Amino acid sequence: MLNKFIKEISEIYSFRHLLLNLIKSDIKIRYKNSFFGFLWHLLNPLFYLGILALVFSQIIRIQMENYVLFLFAGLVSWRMIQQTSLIATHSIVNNQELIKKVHTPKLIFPLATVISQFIEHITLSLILFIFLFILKGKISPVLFITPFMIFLIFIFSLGLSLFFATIHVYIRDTPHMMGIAFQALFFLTPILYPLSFLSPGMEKFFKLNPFYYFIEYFRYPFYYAKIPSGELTIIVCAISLATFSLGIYTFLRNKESFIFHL
Amino acid sequence: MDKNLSIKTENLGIRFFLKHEYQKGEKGLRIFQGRIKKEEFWALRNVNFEAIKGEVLGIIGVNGSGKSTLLKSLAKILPLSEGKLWVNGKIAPLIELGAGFNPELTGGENIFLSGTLLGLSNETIRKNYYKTIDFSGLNKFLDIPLKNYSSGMLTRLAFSIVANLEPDIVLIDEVFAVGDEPFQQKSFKRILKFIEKGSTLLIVSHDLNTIARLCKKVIVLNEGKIQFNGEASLGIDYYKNLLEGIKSIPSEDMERIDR
Repeated sequence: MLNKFIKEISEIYSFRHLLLNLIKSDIKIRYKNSFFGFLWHLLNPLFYLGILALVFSQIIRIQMENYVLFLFAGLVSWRMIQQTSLIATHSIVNNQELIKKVHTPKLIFPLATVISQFIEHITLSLILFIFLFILKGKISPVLFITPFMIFLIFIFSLGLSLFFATIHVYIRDTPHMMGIAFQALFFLTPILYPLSFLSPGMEKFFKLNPFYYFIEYFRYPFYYAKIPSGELTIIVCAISLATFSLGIYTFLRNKESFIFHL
Repeated sequence: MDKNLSIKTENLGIRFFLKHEYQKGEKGLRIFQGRIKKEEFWALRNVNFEAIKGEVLGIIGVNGSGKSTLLKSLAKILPLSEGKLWVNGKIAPLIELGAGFNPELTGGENIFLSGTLLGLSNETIRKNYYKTIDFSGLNKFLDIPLKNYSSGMLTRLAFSIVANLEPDIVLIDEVFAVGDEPFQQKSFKRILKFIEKGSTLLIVSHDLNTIARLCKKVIVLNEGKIQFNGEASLGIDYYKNLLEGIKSIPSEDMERIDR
C-alpha cells in the first residue's frame, strides 16, 4: 500500500501541470457567465451569516460576547469542510469521460477539487480577518497559526473527500446521504452555540463529534485570541491524520476498479 | 524486457463483469429480490505479443473482438486482470480525439488542458502553441468556448493537438477514419510522419487498405484471442477468410452469434 501511495504521488508530480490546469479551469468555470462572478461566492456565506446572526442574537437571543464573530469563525471552518467534501465527492464520477479515455492518476481529480475549493475558503478566511477589525475583535499574534490550522482542515477535508468520492462510484446515493448527515451535524456541532450551553452529560456526547474539534480550533485565533491548548492541537492533528489515512487507503485500494463502474 | 522492444505482453487478460438486469414482468420478482446475475466476460485472454521499436503493427478483427480493449490496456486505461505488460517509452493514446475537451472553456484553454492530459508540460505546450493553432486553421476561434464549435472544428482542433506530439509509441484506434477527404489525407500524412520519426505504431482499423499500406506486421484478434500474428498481407488474408466464414452462416444463426 505504501508503494501504491508513493507511485500515485510521483505520478501526480509528473502530471502537475494537469493539476494546475484542472484547478484553473475549475475556478474559471465557476465564475464564468455570472455578472458578479467572484462576488457571489463571498456574498452567499455573508448573507447566510447575516441572517443567522440576526435570528440568533435578536430573536433567539443567545447571550455571548461578540456573537457574530463567534458565529462567523465557526461558519467559515464548517463550510471549509462541508462544501469541500460534498463537492469533491462527485470528482471521480463527474470526470468519468476523461478516466475512460486517457490515463491519469485518478487522485488528481479529488485533489484538484479540494485545492480549488480551499482557494475560495481561504479568501473567505481573509474576509473573516477583515471582520475582526470591523467587529473590534482582539487581534493577537495567534493569528499566525491560521495557515497551519487551515492546513490541518485541508488534510481532514481531503481525507473525507477521498473516502466519499470512492464510495460514490459504487453507491450513487452518497451525496444525498452526506447532505442529510451534514445538515444534522451542523446543528449538533457547537457552531451556532458554544459547548458551554450543553449539560455535562450532553457535552460528553457532543465531544464524540470529530468536527467539533476543528470548529473549536479555528475559533482560537479569531475569537478567543488565545493559543489553543496542546491537547486540542494533538487531537486535531490526530483526527486529520486518521481521516486522511482512511480516505487515501480506501481510494488507493479501489481506484483500479473505478473504470468498471463508471 | 529486450531494449529493442517497445511493448511486450505476457498472458494478458482483461475481464469484465457483465451485470444482467432483468426486465420487469415475468422476471419482476427477481429485481425485487435484488438479484442481478453477474457474468464473467473475458474481453481478452492469453494475449502474447511483442512490438519492436519503430514497428508499425496493425490490429484487425471483427467488432467486439477486443481491439479497443487491447489498446486501452496498453494505454493503462484498463487494469490487467491477468498477465503482465511491459512498456518502454511514452505512449500517446489516440483512442478518442478530443477526450479531454471541456466545452465551457475556449479553444486556446483546451489546447493546454488536452496537452497536459497527455503528460506535456505547460511550457512545451506554450512553445508549440502557434504551430498547433496554425495547423488547425482555427486562429479566429481561439477565444470562443468549445461548446460553440462545429463538429468539424472540434475534430480539427483535436487533431492539431496531437499532430505536434513526438511520442515513442502511438496507439491509433480508428480516429483517423472520421472527417472529410482533406482531413483524412492530413491524418494519413501525419501517421507517415510518426513512422518517419521512428515511433512505434499500433493501428486499429477496419480499413484493410490502410493497414496493408502502413503495416508490416498484423495481429488478428477474434473473441479476445490472438488468432494470427505475423506478416501483414498473410494476416489480412487470414482475416478475410475469417470474415468469409462468418458470412457463410445463415442469418438466423447470425443473430444468435451476435447476441
